[in-house]
Amino acid sequence: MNSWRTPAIVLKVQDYGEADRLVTFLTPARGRLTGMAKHARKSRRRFAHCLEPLSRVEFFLSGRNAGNLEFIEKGESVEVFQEVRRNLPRLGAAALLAELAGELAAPPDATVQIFATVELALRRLEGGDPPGSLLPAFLLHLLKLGGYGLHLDNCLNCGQVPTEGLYFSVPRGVILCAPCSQGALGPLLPLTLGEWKLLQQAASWPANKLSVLRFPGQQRDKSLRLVKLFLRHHLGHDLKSWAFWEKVAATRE
Amino acid sequence: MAKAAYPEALRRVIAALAKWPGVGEKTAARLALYLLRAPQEEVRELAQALVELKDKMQLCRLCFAFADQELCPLCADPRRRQAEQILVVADPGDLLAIERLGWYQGLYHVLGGLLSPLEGVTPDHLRLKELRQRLAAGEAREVILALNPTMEGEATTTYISQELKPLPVRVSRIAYGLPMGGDIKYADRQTLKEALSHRVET
Ligand SMILES: [Zn+2]
Ligand SMILES: [Zn+2]
Repeated sequence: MNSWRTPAIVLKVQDYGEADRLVTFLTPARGRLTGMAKHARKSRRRFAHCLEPLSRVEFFLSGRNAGNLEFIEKGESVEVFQEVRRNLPRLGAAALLAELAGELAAPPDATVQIFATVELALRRLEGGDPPGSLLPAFLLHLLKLGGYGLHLDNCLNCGQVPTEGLYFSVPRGVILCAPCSQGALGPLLPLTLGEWKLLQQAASWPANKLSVLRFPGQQRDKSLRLVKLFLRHHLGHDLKSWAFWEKVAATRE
Repeated sequence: MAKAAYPEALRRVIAALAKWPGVGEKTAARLALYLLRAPQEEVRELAQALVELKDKMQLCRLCFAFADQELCPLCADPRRRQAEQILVVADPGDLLAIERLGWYQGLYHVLGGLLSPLEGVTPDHLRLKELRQRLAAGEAREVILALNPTMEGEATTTYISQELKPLPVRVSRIAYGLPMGGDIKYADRQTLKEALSHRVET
């Protein structure tokens, strides 16, 4: 197999041995990959500015690979998202979205869209979109692309469109009206009509329209809690980036 | 295999040395054979030094650099304290790299890492409370942030600058003459010196 070139978003860079670096990155064609960048700690020319987490790069991968390990021959920086790096809330949002994208064990046809969505989110954050609104909207969008479609249009049980307070079922990823929520398997998260509407829009709109949505503080926190609980239930663990978002980013946003 | 021909005592030394960074089996064997031929005192001194390294080495109570007493040699030096400066680094390796230049005359503070959103490293994992305590105790009037020009280093610089803003201390960071993604530990002397001497107020 010949070497190939791929767009990539860097997720993680670790030193490996004396001279090498181990890089985890997101690609459109094959989702999350891990590659060895030989002599990357010394050869600045082959990897100039392109082994930085959350930057958009082009990687040249050698055709040979060892099991799940790729070999990165060289890289070129495309965009480092300087404003995202300088701003802690933007950085926190970018980290969560990139990490989630890497966790989604997506079918091949979805990886292209997942990559494009993370790239779009980074561009929008760089351009100044408020991270507190962009984050919940893009998380919900990524969940949809990853095959975790939430059922938010009407009560899954009776089919009615809610007209008052309702519940989100964490294990099932659906909404239930108040009467149908009685005795339903929990955890159940109560939602106001306003919160529900926003979630529904975020989960159904195309990615390029999501910037219009605004999540005021309380709705932002509620939506993020919903996504966090849902992911914890379905992935079996929390995304690592929540801690930074909650302790550093959210309080400054 | 020649290795099987080595007696147990020699094999143990080779196996131990081969775990060191940058040392493979071949180099380990060469070093072990050197030790075998070296004078008795030289080998005893090395063994003793290794044992004491582990027994006596601790972290300085103030700056968290390596120390063999409660305070490291730098914090114990009254001339160092006079400068009323604290230079903040991520780890002891960075401290040594800057100290090797022989240019900086103040005190240090070793954070013990850098903020990392994707790895879940948050401010409570770093020695920031201790830095604030030192500043509250009036140890310094200036804080210099010398963290790597990486995403993690920049995030930490931004965070600490914002946290220290209400305090009556001047906060600056080293100029990023270092290339993006670069490492203080591997920077050449000239680049590092320039980065330290051209500081930017945050
Ligand atoms: Zn119902
Ligand atoms: Zn000290």
